[in-house]
Amino acid sequence: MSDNTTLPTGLISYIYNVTNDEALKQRATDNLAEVMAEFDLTADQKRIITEISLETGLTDDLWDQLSAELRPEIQHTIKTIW
Amino acid sequence: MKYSKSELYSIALDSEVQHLNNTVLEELQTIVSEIPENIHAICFEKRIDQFEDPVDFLVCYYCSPHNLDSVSSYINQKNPNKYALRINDFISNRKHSPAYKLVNLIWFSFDYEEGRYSTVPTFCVSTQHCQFSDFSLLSSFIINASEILAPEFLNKTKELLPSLECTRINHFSFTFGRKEFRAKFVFKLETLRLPSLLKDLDWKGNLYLLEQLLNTIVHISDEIQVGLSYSTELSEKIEIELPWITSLDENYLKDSFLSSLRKVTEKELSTNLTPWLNLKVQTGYYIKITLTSASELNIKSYLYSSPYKKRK
Repeated sequence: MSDNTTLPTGLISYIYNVTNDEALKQRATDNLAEVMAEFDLTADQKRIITEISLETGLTDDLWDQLSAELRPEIQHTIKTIW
Repeated sequence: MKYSKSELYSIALDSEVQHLNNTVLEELQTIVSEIPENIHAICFEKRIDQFEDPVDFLVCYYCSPHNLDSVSSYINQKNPNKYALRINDFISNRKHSPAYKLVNLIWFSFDYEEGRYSTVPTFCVSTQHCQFSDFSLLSSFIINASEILAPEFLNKTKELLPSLECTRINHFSFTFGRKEFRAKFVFKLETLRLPSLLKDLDWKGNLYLLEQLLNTIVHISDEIQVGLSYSTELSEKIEIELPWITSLDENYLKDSFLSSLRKVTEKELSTNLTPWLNLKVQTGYYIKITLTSASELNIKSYLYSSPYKKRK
């Protein structure tokens, strides 16, 4: 999966693809800002991912923040939007 | 998996249900290019008997801090009229006031009127949160928000709210994008309870025609969502939203119901809406029947899509 221009944007897509695509994982290690921009992450999402990358693991607070950012993508069902 | 706003817009335009003329397409393209990224859903509102007419275009944002900043900045770039300032006052409160934190979704509706789209959009606030099942909490939030968004109608808002305790208020909105400024409650209730509620509110619309319509609708749904508009007075217009259709199994727009509906509304559903379900993103639609102050019944379809890929 090297053609990143076709990957859907968003936080779930970022986490899934960076976890499962070794080439992308390496690029994220080398240039995190560039990869996060490709997935069109919001400023808050970028901040949380950057903080996570500086930690050895997810702290409780970072886990709460990451969950809050993932929630709209996970919980989304069209019947509840209106 | 989530698509960008431009990708979603292109996917939605590809549906064979869409028939938009080039002028409308050009204007919508401008709106789409200017609105903030990270949208949660879009909706095309179309008359079902005049499918090629211009459409109202709605866009939804999830209230994350970043989205609120983007939306606020976008509204600031508009003509700074008093309505734009009101929207930004509301957003500022959503960012800082605990009472506003329960609002997860906000909607903008770009209404097509007098040959163009509105500059400052109509603004809708979702109150779909489990804690808002506490009606006193919901009621005080709505009154507080209305002081910002529609102080002209505050007395009417306060007057109407107590009667709506028997309903579930899911949204309230303000027609900043229309020539005529109005506020609206959108609420759910049992289909056949609506007439008694309207009598309590001293509603002046055509109750006889409304009851005929409800007696038709109750065969497909014992619950409806209702749009009740007001300014300093309650409008005689009322809007009835039928249930969502998100799969072919849920499609109630079939011969027997359409025939009954046609007898009451004298309107024909001229387009098959089911291809809307074939898009690769999550989609859904419903129809809304509006009983106007002139006792006409108009039917519109609401075609929703979200940037999230369809689940298998």
